[in-house]
Amino acid sequence: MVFSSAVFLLIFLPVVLLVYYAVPDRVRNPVLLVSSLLFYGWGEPVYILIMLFSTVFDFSNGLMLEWLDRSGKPDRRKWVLVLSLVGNLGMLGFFKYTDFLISSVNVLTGQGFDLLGIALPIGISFYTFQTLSYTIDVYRREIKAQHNILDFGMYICMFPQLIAGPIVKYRDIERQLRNRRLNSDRICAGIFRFTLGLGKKVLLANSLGMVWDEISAQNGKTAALTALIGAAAYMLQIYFDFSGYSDMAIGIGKMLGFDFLENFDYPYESVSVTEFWRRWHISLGSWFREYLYIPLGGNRRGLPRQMLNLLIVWSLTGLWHGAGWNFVVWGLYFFALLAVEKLFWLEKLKKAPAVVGRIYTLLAVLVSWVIFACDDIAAAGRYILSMVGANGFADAASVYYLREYFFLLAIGALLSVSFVRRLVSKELRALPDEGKRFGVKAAVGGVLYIASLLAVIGSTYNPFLYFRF
Amino acid sequence: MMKKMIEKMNSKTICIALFVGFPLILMLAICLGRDRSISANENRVLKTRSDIKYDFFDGELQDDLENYLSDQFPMRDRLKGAETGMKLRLGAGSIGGAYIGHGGRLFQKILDSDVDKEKCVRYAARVNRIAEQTGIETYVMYVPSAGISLRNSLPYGAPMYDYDSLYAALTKELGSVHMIDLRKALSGVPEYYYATDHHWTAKGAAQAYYEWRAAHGEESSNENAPEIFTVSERFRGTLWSRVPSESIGYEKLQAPRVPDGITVEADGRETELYDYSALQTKDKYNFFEGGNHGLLTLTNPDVAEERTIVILKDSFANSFLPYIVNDYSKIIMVDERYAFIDVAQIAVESNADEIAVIREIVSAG
Repeated sequence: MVFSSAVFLLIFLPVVLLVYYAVPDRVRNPVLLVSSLLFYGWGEPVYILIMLFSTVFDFSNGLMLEWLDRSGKPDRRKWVLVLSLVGNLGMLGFFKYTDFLISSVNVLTGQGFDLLGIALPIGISFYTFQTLSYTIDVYRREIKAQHNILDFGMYICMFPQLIAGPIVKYRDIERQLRNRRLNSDRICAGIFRFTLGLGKKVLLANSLGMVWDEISAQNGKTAALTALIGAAAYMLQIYFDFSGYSDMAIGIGKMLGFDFLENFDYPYESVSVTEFWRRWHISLGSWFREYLYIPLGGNRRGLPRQMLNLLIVWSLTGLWHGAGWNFVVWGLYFFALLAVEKLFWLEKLKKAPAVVGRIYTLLAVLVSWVIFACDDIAAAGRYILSMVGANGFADAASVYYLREYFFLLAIGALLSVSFVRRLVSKELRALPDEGKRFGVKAAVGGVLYIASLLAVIGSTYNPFLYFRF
Repeated sequence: MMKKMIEKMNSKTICIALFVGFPLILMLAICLGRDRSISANENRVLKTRSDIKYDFFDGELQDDLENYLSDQFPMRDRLKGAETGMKLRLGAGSIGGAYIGHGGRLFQKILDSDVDKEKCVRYAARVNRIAEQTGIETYVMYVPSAGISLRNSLPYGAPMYDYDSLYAALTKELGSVHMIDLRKALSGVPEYYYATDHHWTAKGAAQAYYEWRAAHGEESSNENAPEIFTVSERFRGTLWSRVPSESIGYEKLQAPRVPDGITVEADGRETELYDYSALQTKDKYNFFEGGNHGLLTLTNPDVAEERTIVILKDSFANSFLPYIVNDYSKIIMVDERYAFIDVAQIAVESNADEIAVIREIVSAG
């Protein structure tokens, strides 16, 4: 099930909230677990089993680690960790990368091995990283093992962030599993946040997506201005799509009494690519930093080793996003940018005016999204060439696209930076009382909600980009 | 929690109650209301309660319920109309896959990326093979889309597929047939195409008929064409369904007069050349032969010289057919989208004198 669907908005969410608010505290976790399984199983009932296996597997690993500690065999704990890593990554690898591997072998060796055609269980990349964070943290003795499988199951399967993040680390919500604050202020804040995310997704991202679809389908044969409009549309689409989803997840979390960490912080106003990755998909970046980059030695073992560590992290970050060579190239592209920044460019950027850094970052990220969006590298190459004028700089079609989509792009660009939010916050603070502030927010939220609902009803164009991962 | 909320009704609890209650009321209104089974505006069957298979383990339940809620949403048509009207007022150049051209004229948006060129080429090669194998005189009359013929009426710079290069590529494959090139004849005259539908008008089809006659070595002028009469004043075509705004008016559906005595059999059933019952429906273009049929046979006993033609067609041919009813004693029309028929065989068995292809160039795939 997706958030921006009529079934979710008209049936699932209101019914779950109604039941959740009506039952006593102690029944809320089971209610959430059952509703999450329904949410997940709705589209792909079979894959519930994989998720449940993953849940039981890491729940047992956690208990095993604790038991080994208690029974004085701490040296055996690393084998449990290895088991967990092999089990989780093996499952992710099997479902996500088997066909990629086979087709790569076919290309390299000229063989014709049949592809297995394995369907990717939705959200496996996200919940695998969540379960891994749990086992690793128990192994590091940073948290205690969870003894209640219902609570643990609820953490893994929790529907708000199950299929498209944020990647919630167990230790960040360990206490909230048993002890949540639920009051009307927080619920309303959650509703408002959810509605903002829904609007971002269905009103902005979907419309922007159509621009990109239309222009990219012209296979790199467009003039530079047209290609830039298409790439800019995709750049905004992926931001509103993904950050909109995170907003909805965080919003639903709040409605249920959870506090999830932020996943986006206006990444398009960054002054360097390094900063961009601190503000884009924050939960993934911090996961890789904490569970891969730092254990590999981070920057503590000299420059060559740091570069190697970065190379490993970014190759895997690319692959995490999708089983395709374009994703590997995309990851390596960011490795190259980040390496150059770490070597000297970042220092130079710090001395230059912020606008220089912003333009450089936007252009670097714009190119990265073209690599990301094009399934094959040759198509990405053709598109990037068209962006730099391989087919001329502008033509009549460019004028059409510019006229047709200027306002959409302008609104998207404005809302992708913090300027509007700061302005609105300032105006809201200027209002005399809390009641008026709430009234304005409720009115805006109400209009957004109705407009989004109508867009969902009226449109069949509703794919979530991040479902591929 | 619920009890506390009731005790302390403030603006925030009202907001929560609305967020939870409004969708539920809406959902109940949909589920308890009477289902609409057909959307005339959209020319399609709507999902109804009885279509839903309540099997959780079947992936179709998700789509069924989603489509049901969307299709049966209260005031769906009006809301879509209001949304479209708003987009038109904001100056949108394209809505739902249709360009909004000058004067509110609608065009089907067809880009190169929408055209399966290889398939079109394969189709042309197949037609050429049929012509060679049967040895029957074959004519191919591709119809340019409205956006090609009326390029100047499109929003400035609005891209369309490259008709000329596609035509050239297909002509290369069609060495054994007579090509009837309609580009010049249909170019630049808005009244040759409907403003709310992708088809040509009776006048547009008449222009094609003049070219058809010329290609057959016959005299070609207005005098050869039958009189055109208005069938309906309230026609809104398929493109209007994509841009369903009341601000776009009705137009006339017209057709040429045809003689009596013609018999038409479509897919084994007797029917009429002009189906007046279609005028009571939204899809009034079905006035011509009652719509598309896999196999349609028309006989005109009043034609002096016995002459049979087999036509491979799409819906453009439906409104062209009335123009040629006096030229052939038997017309066999095959729409391969609706029936698998061996055209070469049927042409040979019916002793056809001619084979013709009449269709929009991009549908020839």
